Amino acid sequence: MRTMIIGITGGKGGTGKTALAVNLAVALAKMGKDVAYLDCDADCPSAHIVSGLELKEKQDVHSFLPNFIEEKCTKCGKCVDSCEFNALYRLKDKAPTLLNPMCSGCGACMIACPSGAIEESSKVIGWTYRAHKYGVEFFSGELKPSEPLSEKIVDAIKQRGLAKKHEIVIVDTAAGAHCQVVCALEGCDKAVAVTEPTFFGEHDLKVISKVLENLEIPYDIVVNRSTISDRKIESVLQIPYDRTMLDCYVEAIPIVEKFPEHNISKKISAFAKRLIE
Amino acid sequence: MKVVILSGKGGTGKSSFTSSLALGMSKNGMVLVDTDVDCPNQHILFPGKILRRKELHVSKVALFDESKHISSSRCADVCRFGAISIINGKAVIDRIKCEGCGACALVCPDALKLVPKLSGELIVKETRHFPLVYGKLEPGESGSGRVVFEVKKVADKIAKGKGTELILVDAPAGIGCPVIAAVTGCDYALGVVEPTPASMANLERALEVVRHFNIPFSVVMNKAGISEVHEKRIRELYGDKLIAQIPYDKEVPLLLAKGIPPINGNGKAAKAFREAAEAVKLILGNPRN
Repeated sequence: MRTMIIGITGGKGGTGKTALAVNLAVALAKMGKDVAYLDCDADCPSAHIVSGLELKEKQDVHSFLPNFIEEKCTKCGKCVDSCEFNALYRLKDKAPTLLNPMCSGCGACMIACPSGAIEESSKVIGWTYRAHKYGVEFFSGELKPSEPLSEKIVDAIKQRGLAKKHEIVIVDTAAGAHCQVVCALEGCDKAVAVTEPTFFGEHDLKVISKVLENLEIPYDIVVNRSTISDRKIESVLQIPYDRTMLDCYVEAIPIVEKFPEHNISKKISAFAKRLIE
Repeated sequence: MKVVILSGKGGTGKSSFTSSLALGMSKNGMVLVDTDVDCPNQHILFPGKILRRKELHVSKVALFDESKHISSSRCADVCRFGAISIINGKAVIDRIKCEGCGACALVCPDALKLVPKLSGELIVKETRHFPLVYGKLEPGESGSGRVVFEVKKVADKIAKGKGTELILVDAPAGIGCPVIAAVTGCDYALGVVEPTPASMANLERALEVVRHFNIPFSVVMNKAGISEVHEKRIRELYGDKLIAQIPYDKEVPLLLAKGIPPINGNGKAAKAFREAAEAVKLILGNPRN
Protein backbone atom coordinates (compact mmCIF):
# COMPACT_ATOMS: atom_id res chain seq x y z
CA MET A 1 0.00 0.00 0.00
CA ARG A 2 1.20 3.49 -0.85
CA THR A 3 1.75 5.98 1.94
CA MET A 4 -0.33 9.14 1.81
CA ILE A 5 1.69 12.15 3.02
CA ILE A 6 -0.20 15.24 4.16
CA GLY A 7 1.69 18.44 4.95
CA ILE A 8 0.30 20.93 7.47
CA THR A 9 1.66 24.42 6.92
CA GLY A 10 0.47 28.03 6.88
CA GLY A 11 3.19 30.67 6.58
CA LYS A 12 2.34 32.65 9.68
CA GLY A 13 3.39 31.30 13.06
CA GLY A 14 0.91 30.54 15.81
CA THR A 15 -2.11 30.00 13.58
CA GLY A 16 -2.68 26.57 15.10
CA LYS A 17 -0.80 24.36 12.65
CA THR A 18 0.49 21.97 15.28
CA ALA A 19 -2.76 21.84 17.24
CA LEU A 20 -4.69 20.96 14.07
CA ALA A 21 -2.03 18.53 12.84
CA VAL A 22 -1.96 16.61 16.13
CA ASN A 23 -5.76 16.48 16.25
CA LEU A 24 -5.93 15.25 12.64
CA ALA A 25 -3.41 12.50 13.37
CA VAL A 26 -5.22 11.37 16.52
CA ALA A 27 -8.61 11.53 14.76
CA LEU A 28 -7.28 9.34 11.93
CA ALA A 29 -5.81 6.85 14.40
CA LYS A 30 -9.21 6.66 16.10
CA MET A 31 -10.67 5.66 12.72
CA GLY A 32 -8.31 2.69 12.77
CA LYS A 33 -5.71 4.16 10.41
CA ASP A 34 -2.00 3.46 10.72
CA VAL A 35 -0.68 6.99 11.29
CA ALA A 36 2.77 8.55 11.68
CA TYR A 37 3.26 12.15 12.74
CA LEU A 38 6.40 14.00 11.71
CA ASP A 39 7.09 17.22 13.60
CA CYS A 40 9.27 18.93 11.00
CA ASP A 41 9.61 22.23 12.87
CA ALA A 42 13.20 21.50 13.82
CA ASP A 43 13.74 25.03 15.16
CA CYS A 44 10.86 25.01 17.60
CA PRO A 45 9.34 21.54 17.87
CA SER A 46 6.13 21.59 19.87
CA ALA A 47 3.97 18.61 18.86
CA HIS A 48 5.32 16.63 21.83
CA ILE A 49 4.47 19.53 24.14
CA VAL A 50 0.97 19.98 22.70
CA SER A 51 0.23 16.27 23.04
CA GLY A 52 2.03 15.74 26.33
CA LEU A 53 4.42 13.04 25.21
CA GLU A 54 7.93 12.25 26.24
CA LEU A 55 10.45 12.09 23.40
CA LYS A 56 12.49 8.90 23.34
CA GLU A 57 15.07 7.06 21.23
CA LYS A 58 17.31 10.07 20.67
CA GLN A 59 19.58 9.91 17.62
CA ASP A 60 22.34 12.37 16.70
CA VAL A 61 22.28 14.27 13.41
CA HIS A 62 25.76 14.99 12.10
CA SER A 63 27.17 17.53 9.73
CA PHE A 64 30.61 17.53 8.09
CA LEU A 65 33.28 19.60 9.76
CA PRO A 66 36.79 20.08 8.37
CA ASN A 67 39.67 18.90 10.52
CA PHE A 68 42.91 20.71 9.68
CA ILE A 69 46.20 18.79 9.80
CA GLU A 70 48.59 21.65 10.38
CA GLU A 71 51.77 19.78 9.44
CA LYS A 72 50.38 19.10 5.97
CA CYS A 73 49.05 22.64 5.38
CA THR A 74 51.07 24.62 2.80
CA LYS A 75 49.13 27.80 3.63
CA CYS A 76 48.06 28.22 0.01
CA GLY A 77 44.64 29.63 0.90
CA LYS A 78 42.68 27.52 -1.60
CA CYS A 79 40.30 26.27 1.09
CA VAL A 80 39.48 29.83 2.13
CA ASP A 81 38.76 30.79 -1.50
CA SER A 82 36.55 27.75 -2.01
CA CYS A 83 34.28 28.49 0.97
CA GLU A 84 31.06 30.13 -0.25
CA PHE A 85 29.87 30.69 3.31
CA ASN A 86 32.80 32.77 4.60
CA ALA A 87 33.36 30.19 7.29
CA LEU A 88 37.12 30.13 6.79
CA TYR A 89 39.59 32.94 7.19
CA ARG A 90 43.30 33.11 7.38
CA LEU A 91 45.86 35.67 8.34
CA LYS A 92 48.78 36.05 5.96
CA ASP A 93 51.01 32.95 5.93
CA LYS A 94 48.96 31.32 8.67
CA ALA A 95 46.90 28.14 8.66
CA PRO A 96 43.15 28.72 8.22
CA THR A 97 40.71 29.18 11.10
CA LEU A 98 37.15 27.85 10.99
CA LEU A 99 34.19 29.99 12.06
CA ASN A 100 32.14 27.06 13.22
CA PRO A 101 28.59 28.51 13.07
CA MET A 102 29.06 29.70 9.48
CA CYS A 103 30.11 26.24 8.23
CA SER A 104 27.45 24.61 6.06
CA GLY A 105 29.21 21.26 6.19
CA CYS A 106 29.52 21.16 2.39
CA GLY A 107 33.08 19.80 2.30
CA ALA A 108 34.22 22.07 -0.54
CA CYS A 109 37.35 23.03 1.43
CA MET A 110 38.41 19.39 1.66
CA ILE A 111 38.07 19.02 -2.13
CA ALA A 112 39.92 22.29 -2.76
CA CYS A 113 42.90 21.43 -0.54
CA PRO A 114 45.74 20.19 -2.78
CA SER A 115 47.90 18.82 0.03
CA GLY A 116 45.44 16.60 1.91
CA ALA A 117 45.61 18.83 4.97
CA ILE A 118 41.86 18.68 5.58
CA GLU A 119 40.33 15.51 6.91
CA GLU A 120 36.71 14.56 7.34
CA SER A 121 35.33 15.19 10.80
CA SER A 122 31.81 15.88 12.00
CA LYS A 123 29.79 17.76 14.56
CA VAL A 124 26.39 17.04 16.07
CA ILE A 125 23.95 19.72 14.87
CA GLY A 126 20.78 18.29 16.38
CA TRP A 127 18.78 15.19 17.21
CA THR A 128 15.78 13.16 16.11
CA TYR A 129 13.34 11.32 18.39
CA ARG A 130 10.53 8.80 18.30
CA ALA A 131 7.57 8.32 20.61
CA HIS A 132 4.14 6.72 20.66
CA LYS A 133 0.82 7.99 22.00
CA TYR A 134 -2.91 8.03 21.17
CA GLY A 135 -2.30 5.29 18.59
CA VAL A 136 0.05 7.55 16.59
CA GLU A 137 3.77 7.01 16.02
CA PHE A 138 5.46 10.40 16.54
CA PHE A 139 8.78 11.41 15.02
CA SER A 140 10.39 14.65 16.03
CA GLY A 141 13.72 16.41 16.01
CA GLU A 142 15.46 19.52 17.18
CA LEU A 143 18.16 21.77 15.88
CA LYS A 144 20.92 22.41 18.38
CA PRO A 145 20.57 26.11 19.35
CA SER A 146 23.11 28.35 17.56
CA GLU A 147 23.42 25.89 14.66
CA PRO A 148 21.88 27.19 11.43
CA LEU A 149 21.10 24.09 9.33
CA SER A 150 17.45 23.40 10.19
CA GLU A 151 16.78 21.65 6.87
CA LYS A 152 19.32 18.93 7.66
CA ILE A 153 17.34 18.00 10.77
CA VAL A 154 14.11 18.05 8.75
CA ASP A 155 15.72 15.65 6.26
CA ALA A 156 16.75 13.34 9.09
CA ILE A 157 13.25 13.38 10.64
CA LYS A 158 11.67 12.57 7.26
CA GLN A 159 14.13 9.79 6.59
CA ARG A 160 13.41 8.21 9.94
CA GLY A 161 9.66 8.76 9.86
CA LEU A 162 9.02 7.64 6.30
CA ALA A 163 11.07 4.45 6.58
CA LYS A 164 8.26 2.45 8.16
CA LYS A 165 5.79 3.16 5.37
CA HIS A 166 2.75 4.01 7.46
CA GLU A 167 -0.62 4.25 5.76
CA ILE A 168 -0.86 7.97 6.47
CA VAL A 169 1.89 10.41 7.41
CA ILE A 170 1.10 13.87 8.79
CA VAL A 171 4.00 16.31 8.23
CA ASP A 172 3.82 19.39 10.44
CA THR A 173 6.02 22.24 9.15
CA ALA A 174 7.63 25.27 10.75
CA ALA A 175 6.30 28.79 10.29
CA GLY A 176 7.58 30.74 7.33
CA ALA A 177 8.26 29.77 3.75
CA HIS A 178 12.01 29.22 3.53
CA CYS A 179 14.08 26.14 2.79
CA GLN A 180 13.19 24.32 6.02
CA VAL A 181 9.48 24.50 5.21
CA VAL A 182 10.01 23.56 1.55
CA CYS A 183 12.15 20.63 2.63
CA ALA A 184 9.29 19.40 4.85
CA LEU A 185 6.68 19.86 2.10
CA GLU A 186 8.67 18.18 -0.68
CA GLY A 187 7.07 14.84 -1.48
CA CYS A 188 3.73 15.59 0.19
CA ASP A 189 0.69 14.37 -1.74
CA LYS A 190 -1.47 17.15 -0.43
CA ALA A 191 -1.30 19.94 2.08
CA VAL A 192 -3.41 21.96 4.47
CA ALA A 193 -2.67 25.67 4.88
CA VAL A 194 -3.81 26.86 8.30
CA THR A 195 -4.39 30.57 8.73
CA GLU A 196 -6.31 33.05 10.88
CA PRO A 197 -8.58 35.96 9.89
CA THR A 198 -6.07 38.76 10.38
CA PHE A 199 -4.12 40.91 7.93
CA PHE A 200 -0.97 38.95 8.84
CA GLY A 201 -2.65 35.58 8.42
CA GLU A 202 -4.04 36.47 5.02
CA HIS A 203 -0.78 37.99 3.79
CA ASP A 204 1.32 34.99 4.84
CA LEU A 205 -1.24 32.59 3.38
CA LYS A 206 -0.54 34.13 -0.03
CA VAL A 207 3.19 33.47 0.41
CA ILE A 208 2.76 29.81 1.38
CA SER A 209 0.16 29.32 -1.37
CA LYS A 210 2.78 30.36 -3.90
CA VAL A 211 5.26 27.87 -2.43
CA LEU A 212 2.67 25.07 -2.60
CA GLU A 213 1.77 25.98 -6.18
CA ASN A 214 5.46 25.97 -7.17
CA LEU A 215 5.79 22.52 -5.62
CA GLU A 216 2.57 21.44 -7.40
CA ILE A 217 0.99 20.24 -4.17
CA PRO A 218 -2.82 20.55 -4.02
CA TYR A 219 -3.98 22.13 -0.76
CA ASP A 220 -6.98 23.01 1.35
CA ILE A 221 -7.26 26.19 3.40
CA VAL A 222 -8.37 26.03 7.03
CA VAL A 223 -9.21 29.20 8.96
CA ASN A 224 -8.54 28.80 12.65
CA ARG A 225 -10.10 31.10 15.27
CA SER A 226 -12.45 32.13 12.46
CA THR A 227 -14.60 34.23 14.78
CA ILE A 228 -11.93 36.63 16.14
CA SER A 229 -12.66 39.14 13.38
CA ASP A 230 -15.07 39.55 10.52
CA ARG A 231 -12.45 39.08 7.79
CA LYS A 232 -13.57 36.38 5.40
CA ILE A 233 -11.04 34.00 3.83
CA GLU A 234 -12.26 31.35 1.42
CA SER A 235 -11.67 28.00 3.11
CA VAL A 236 -12.94 24.43 3.40
CA LEU A 237 -12.99 24.44 7.21
CA GLN A 238 -13.51 27.17 9.79
CA ILE A 239 -12.66 26.46 13.41
CA PRO A 240 -14.30 29.04 15.68
CA TYR A 241 -12.39 30.59 18.57
CA ASP A 242 -13.21 28.43 21.56
CA ARG A 243 -11.80 28.51 25.04
CA THR A 244 -11.95 24.67 25.20
CA MET A 245 -9.45 24.42 22.32
CA LEU A 246 -7.08 26.79 24.14
CA ASP A 247 -7.49 24.90 27.43
CA CYS A 248 -6.70 21.58 25.70
CA TYR A 249 -3.62 23.19 24.15
CA VAL A 250 -2.40 24.49 27.50
CA GLU A 251 -3.23 21.18 29.20
CA ALA A 252 -1.44 19.28 26.40
CA ILE A 253 -4.29 16.92 25.47
CA PRO A 254 -5.69 16.90 21.91
CA ILE A 255 -9.34 18.05 21.90
CA VAL A 256 -10.44 15.01 19.83
CA GLU A 257 -9.06 12.86 22.65
CA LYS A 258 -10.39 14.80 25.63
CA PHE A 259 -13.76 15.92 24.25
CA PRO A 260 -14.55 13.70 21.23
CA GLU A 261 -18.15 14.94 21.24
CA HIS A 262 -17.20 18.63 21.13
CA ASN A 263 -18.32 20.54 18.06
CA ILE A 264 -14.69 21.29 17.07
CA SER A 265 -13.67 17.62 17.49
CA LYS A 266 -16.48 16.59 15.17
CA LYS A 267 -15.47 19.20 12.61
CA ILE A 268 -11.82 18.10 12.69
CA SER A 269 -12.71 14.40 12.44
CA ALA A 270 -14.99 15.02 9.46
CA PHE A 271 -12.24 17.03 7.78
CA ALA A 272 -9.68 14.26 8.48
CA LYS A 273 -11.97 11.73 6.84
CA ARG A 274 -12.37 13.95 3.79
CA LEU A 275 -8.61 14.48 3.53
CA ILE A 276 -7.85 10.78 3.08
CA GLU A 277 -10.68 10.01 0.68
CA MET B 1 21.80 50.48 20.06
CA LYS B 2 20.40 47.57 18.10
CA VAL B 3 17.58 45.63 19.76
CA VAL B 4 16.27 42.32 18.43
CA ILE B 5 12.78 41.05 19.29
CA LEU B 6 12.39 37.29 19.10
CA SER B 7 10.27 34.46 20.46
CA GLY B 8 11.25 31.10 18.97
CA LYS B 9 7.66 30.01 18.49
CA GLY B 10 5.64 31.94 15.94
CA GLY B 11 2.40 33.73 16.67
CA THR B 12 3.24 34.78 20.21
CA GLY B 13 2.72 38.41 19.28
CA LYS B 14 6.27 39.30 18.34
CA SER B 15 5.30 41.52 15.41
CA SER B 16 2.37 43.11 17.29
CA PHE B 17 4.68 43.89 20.18
CA THR B 18 7.42 45.18 17.88
CA SER B 19 5.04 47.48 16.00
CA SER B 20 3.72 48.85 19.28
CA LEU B 21 7.19 49.26 20.71
CA ALA B 22 8.32 51.02 17.55
CA LEU B 23 5.48 53.55 17.82
CA GLY B 24 6.10 53.98 21.53
CA MET B 25 9.81 54.64 21.00
CA SER B 26 9.85 56.53 17.71
CA LYS B 27 9.88 60.03 19.23
CA ASN B 28 13.65 60.24 19.42
CA GLY B 29 14.30 58.67 16.04
CA MET B 30 14.48 55.02 15.19
CA VAL B 31 14.81 52.61 12.28
CA LEU B 32 12.55 49.56 12.17
CA VAL B 33 13.88 46.42 10.49
CA ASP B 34 11.65 43.48 9.62
CA THR B 35 13.92 40.45 9.22
CA ASP B 36 11.05 37.98 8.89
CA VAL B 37 11.95 37.79 5.20
CA ASP B 38 9.69 34.77 4.57
CA CYS B 39 6.58 36.50 5.78
CA PRO B 40 7.28 40.16 6.56
CA ASN B 41 4.34 41.88 8.25
CA GLN B 42 5.44 45.28 9.55
CA HIS B 43 4.87 46.98 6.19
CA ILE B 44 1.18 46.06 6.47
CA LEU B 45 0.90 48.02 9.71
CA PHE B 46 2.96 50.97 8.52
CA PRO B 47 1.91 52.36 5.16
CA GLY B 48 4.13 54.90 3.48
CA LYS B 49 6.22 55.72 0.48
CA ILE B 50 8.65 53.15 -0.93
CA LEU B 51 11.99 54.88 -1.36
CA ARG B 52 14.01 52.01 -2.69
CA ARG B 53 13.62 48.47 -4.01
CA LYS B 54 16.58 46.31 -4.80
CA GLU B 55 16.74 42.77 -6.10
CA LEU B 56 19.10 40.65 -4.04
CA HIS B 57 21.26 38.04 -5.71
CA VAL B 58 23.05 36.97 -2.55
CA SER B 59 22.95 33.19 -2.95
CA LYS B 60 24.30 30.93 -5.62
CA VAL B 61 23.13 27.79 -7.32
CA ALA B 62 24.97 25.14 -9.36
CA LEU B 63 24.43 25.23 -13.11
CA PHE B 64 25.13 22.33 -15.46
CA ASP B 65 26.37 23.04 -18.96
CA GLU B 66 23.77 21.16 -21.02
CA SER B 67 26.18 20.80 -23.95
CA LYS B 68 28.38 18.56 -21.81
CA HIS B 69 28.10 14.86 -21.16
CA ILE B 70 29.52 13.45 -17.96
CA SER B 71 30.70 9.92 -17.45
CA SER B 72 31.42 9.93 -13.71
CA SER B 73 29.06 10.53 -10.83
CA ARG B 74 31.64 12.38 -8.75
CA CYS B 75 29.72 15.66 -8.72
CA ALA B 76 26.68 13.88 -7.28
CA ASP B 77 28.84 11.90 -4.84
CA VAL B 78 30.47 14.99 -3.33
CA CYS B 79 27.18 16.85 -2.90
CA ARG B 80 26.30 16.59 0.78
CA PHE B 81 22.85 18.06 0.22
CA GLY B 82 21.61 15.38 -2.19
CA ALA B 83 20.95 18.06 -4.79
CA ILE B 84 22.43 16.33 -7.86
CA SER B 85 21.19 13.31 -9.75
CA ILE B 86 22.83 12.01 -12.92
CA ILE B 87 20.33 11.18 -15.65
CA ASN B 88 21.61 10.01 -19.06
CA GLY B 89 24.99 11.66 -18.64
CA LYS B 90 23.49 14.96 -17.52
CA ALA B 91 23.64 16.44 -14.03
CA VAL B 92 20.17 17.44 -12.86
CA ILE B 93 20.27 20.03 -10.07
CA ASP B 94 17.52 20.24 -7.45
CA ARG B 95 17.42 24.01 -7.01
CA ILE B 96 15.73 23.75 -3.62
CA LYS B 97 18.29 21.37 -2.14
CA CYS B 98 21.33 23.08 -3.70
CA GLU B 99 23.07 25.24 -1.08
CA GLY B 100 25.37 26.85 -3.63
CA CYS B 101 28.53 25.49 -2.04
CA GLY B 102 30.34 24.74 -5.27
CA ALA B 103 31.69 21.32 -4.27
CA CYS B 104 30.39 19.89 -7.57
CA ALA B 105 32.08 22.62 -9.60
CA LEU B 106 35.36 21.90 -7.81
CA VAL B 107 35.37 18.24 -8.90
CA CYS B 108 33.91 18.87 -12.36
CA PRO B 109 34.80 22.44 -13.40
CA ASP B 110 34.25 21.68 -17.10
CA ALA B 111 30.54 20.98 -16.80
CA LEU B 112 29.42 22.68 -13.60
CA LYS B 113 29.69 26.20 -12.25
CA LEU B 114 28.11 28.38 -9.61
CA VAL B 115 25.87 31.22 -10.70
CA PRO B 116 24.14 33.87 -8.58
CA LYS B 117 20.39 33.50 -8.18
CA LEU B 118 17.58 35.84 -7.20
CA SER B 119 17.13 35.36 -3.46
CA GLY B 120 14.67 38.12 -2.82
CA GLU B 121 14.12 41.80 -2.59
CA LEU B 122 15.11 44.57 -0.22
CA ILE B 123 12.67 47.41 0.39
CA VAL B 124 13.16 50.75 2.15
CA LYS B 125 10.02 52.61 3.07
CA GLU B 126 9.44 56.01 4.62
CA THR B 127 6.50 55.75 7.00
CA ARG B 128 4.88 58.54 8.99
CA HIS B 129 6.91 57.65 12.04
CA PHE B 130 10.24 56.12 10.98
CA PRO B 131 12.09 54.45 8.11
CA LEU B 132 11.19 50.78 7.69
CA VAL B 133 13.59 48.35 6.05
CA TYR B 134 12.45 44.88 5.13
CA GLY B 135 13.28 41.96 2.91
CA LYS B 136 11.15 39.61 0.90
CA LEU B 137 12.55 36.19 0.21
CA GLU B 138 11.50 34.60 -3.08
CA PRO B 139 8.90 32.11 -1.82
CA GLY B 140 10.60 28.81 -1.01
CA GLU B 141 14.13 30.00 -1.71
CA SER B 142 17.09 29.26 0.51
CA GLY B 143 19.52 31.94 1.64
CA SER B 144 17.17 33.70 4.07
CA GLY B 145 20.12 34.35 6.40
CA ARG B 146 21.98 36.19 3.66
CA VAL B 147 18.91 38.31 2.86
CA VAL B 148 18.62 39.18 6.56
CA PHE B 149 22.27 40.29 6.63
CA GLU B 150 21.69 42.56 3.62
CA VAL B 151 18.56 44.09 5.15
CA LYS B 152 20.39 44.81 8.40
CA LYS B 153 23.35 46.32 6.55
CA VAL B 154 21.08 48.81 4.77
CA ALA B 155 19.30 49.65 8.06
CA ASP B 156 22.68 50.40 9.66
CA LYS B 157 23.51 52.80 6.86
CA ILE B 158 20.18 54.60 7.11
CA ALA B 159 20.50 54.92 10.88
CA LYS B 160 24.01 56.30 10.50
CA GLY B 161 22.92 58.75 7.81
CA LYS B 162 20.10 60.06 9.98
CA GLY B 163 22.13 60.07 13.16
CA THR B 164 19.65 57.65 14.74
CA GLU B 165 20.95 55.49 17.52
CA LEU B 166 18.09 53.06 17.92
CA ILE B 167 17.42 50.17 15.53
CA LEU B 168 14.61 47.71 16.29
CA VAL B 169 14.98 44.31 14.62
CA ASP B 170 11.88 42.11 14.34
CA ALA B 171 13.20 38.53 14.08
CA PRO B 172 11.49 35.66 12.27
CA ALA B 173 10.06 32.64 14.08
CA GLY B 174 12.41 29.76 14.79
CA ILE B 175 16.04 29.65 15.86
CA GLY B 176 17.79 28.69 12.61
CA CYS B 177 19.78 30.50 9.97
CA PRO B 178 17.66 33.70 9.52
CA VAL B 179 17.25 34.11 13.30
CA ILE B 180 20.99 33.76 13.87
CA ALA B 181 21.49 36.40 11.17
CA ALA B 182 18.93 38.68 12.90
CA VAL B 183 20.53 38.27 16.34
CA THR B 184 24.15 38.68 15.19
CA GLY B 185 25.50 42.13 16.03
CA CYS B 186 22.60 43.18 18.26
CA ASP B 187 23.26 44.83 21.61
CA TYR B 188 20.09 43.76 23.37
CA ALA B 189 17.34 41.17 22.95
CA LEU B 190 13.69 41.15 23.96
CA GLY B 191 11.98 37.77 24.17
CA VAL B 192 8.22 37.61 23.71
CA VAL B 193 6.48 34.71 25.39
CA GLU B 194 2.85 33.68 25.89
CA PRO B 195 1.82 31.51 28.86
CA THR B 196 1.61 28.23 26.95
CA PRO B 197 4.02 25.31 27.31
CA ALA B 198 5.02 25.41 23.61
CA SER B 199 5.85 29.10 23.69
CA MET B 200 7.79 28.81 26.94
CA ALA B 201 9.91 25.88 25.73
CA ASN B 202 10.69 27.59 22.46
CA LEU B 203 11.49 30.99 23.94
CA GLU B 204 14.16 29.16 25.95
CA ARG B 205 15.55 27.69 22.71
CA ALA B 206 15.70 31.18 21.20
CA LEU B 207 17.33 32.57 24.35
CA GLU B 208 19.99 29.87 24.09
CA VAL B 209 20.99 31.48 20.80
CA VAL B 210 20.96 34.92 22.48
CA ARG B 211 23.14 33.61 25.33
CA HIS B 212 25.48 32.02 22.80
CA PHE B 213 26.20 35.51 21.47
CA ASN B 214 26.47 36.95 25.01
CA ILE B 215 23.67 39.44 24.42
CA PRO B 216 21.79 40.76 27.49
CA PHE B 217 18.02 40.27 27.32
CA SER B 218 14.64 40.90 28.94
CA VAL B 219 11.35 39.09 28.55
CA VAL B 220 7.85 40.36 27.80
CA MET B 221 4.82 38.21 28.50
CA ASN B 222 2.02 38.53 25.98
CA LYS B 223 -1.56 37.27 26.31
CA ALA B 224 -1.32 37.16 30.11
CA GLY B 225 -4.54 35.80 31.61
CA ILE B 226 -4.89 32.65 29.54
CA SER B 227 -3.17 30.34 32.03
CA GLU B 228 -2.43 31.22 35.63
CA VAL B 229 -0.17 28.21 36.17
CA HIS B 230 2.10 29.06 33.27
CA GLU B 231 2.13 32.77 34.05
CA LYS B 232 3.36 31.97 37.54
CA ARG B 233 6.09 29.78 36.07
CA ILE B 234 7.19 32.53 33.70
CA ARG B 235 7.38 35.01 36.60
CA GLU B 236 9.45 32.58 38.65
CA LEU B 237 11.71 31.67 35.74
CA TYR B 238 12.60 35.19 34.61
CA GLY B 239 12.15 37.25 37.80
CA ASP B 240 13.43 40.80 37.20
CA LYS B 241 14.05 40.00 33.57
CA LEU B 242 10.30 39.97 33.01
CA ILE B 243 9.76 43.67 32.32
CA ALA B 244 6.20 43.77 31.00
CA GLN B 245 2.99 41.77 30.95
CA ILE B 246 0.44 42.42 28.23
CA PRO B 247 -3.01 41.07 29.15
CA TYR B 248 -4.99 38.96 26.71
CA ASP B 249 -7.43 41.36 25.12
CA LYS B 250 -9.97 40.59 22.41
CA GLU B 251 -9.40 44.05 21.01
CA VAL B 252 -5.91 43.06 19.75
CA PRO B 253 -6.96 40.64 16.98
CA LEU B 254 -9.69 43.07 15.94
CA LEU B 255 -7.14 45.86 15.60
CA LEU B 256 -4.73 43.59 13.72
CA ALA B 257 -7.53 42.50 11.41
CA LYS B 258 -7.80 46.18 10.46
CA GLY B 259 -4.03 46.63 10.18
CA ILE B 260 -3.71 48.86 13.26
CA PRO B 261 -0.75 48.44 15.66
CA PRO B 262 -2.32 47.36 18.98
CA ILE B 263 -0.72 50.20 20.98
CA ASN B 264 -3.24 52.49 19.24
CA GLY B 265 -6.25 50.74 20.77
CA ASN B 266 -8.32 51.76 23.80
CA GLY B 267 -8.30 48.54 25.81
CA LYS B 268 -6.17 47.10 28.59
CA ALA B 269 -3.65 45.59 26.16
CA ALA B 270 -3.07 48.94 24.45
CA LYS B 271 -2.42 50.51 27.86
CA ALA B 272 0.02 47.71 28.73
CA PHE B 273 1.81 48.14 25.39
CA ARG B 274 2.34 51.83 26.21
CA GLU B 275 3.72 50.91 29.62
CA ALA B 276 5.92 48.22 28.05
CA ALA B 277 7.45 50.76 25.66
CA GLU B 278 8.29 52.95 28.67
CA ALA B 279 9.80 49.98 30.50
CA VAL B 280 11.97 49.13 27.48
CA LYS B 281 13.11 52.77 27.21
CA LEU B 282 14.16 52.66 30.83
CA ILE B 283 16.03 49.39 30.36
CA LEU B 284 17.89 50.62 27.31
CA GLY B 285 18.96 53.67 29.26
CA ASN B 286 16.95 55.88 26.94
CA PRO B 287 19.95 56.45 24.65
CA ARG B 288 18.81 59.88 23.47
CA ASN B 289 18.21 61.49 26.85
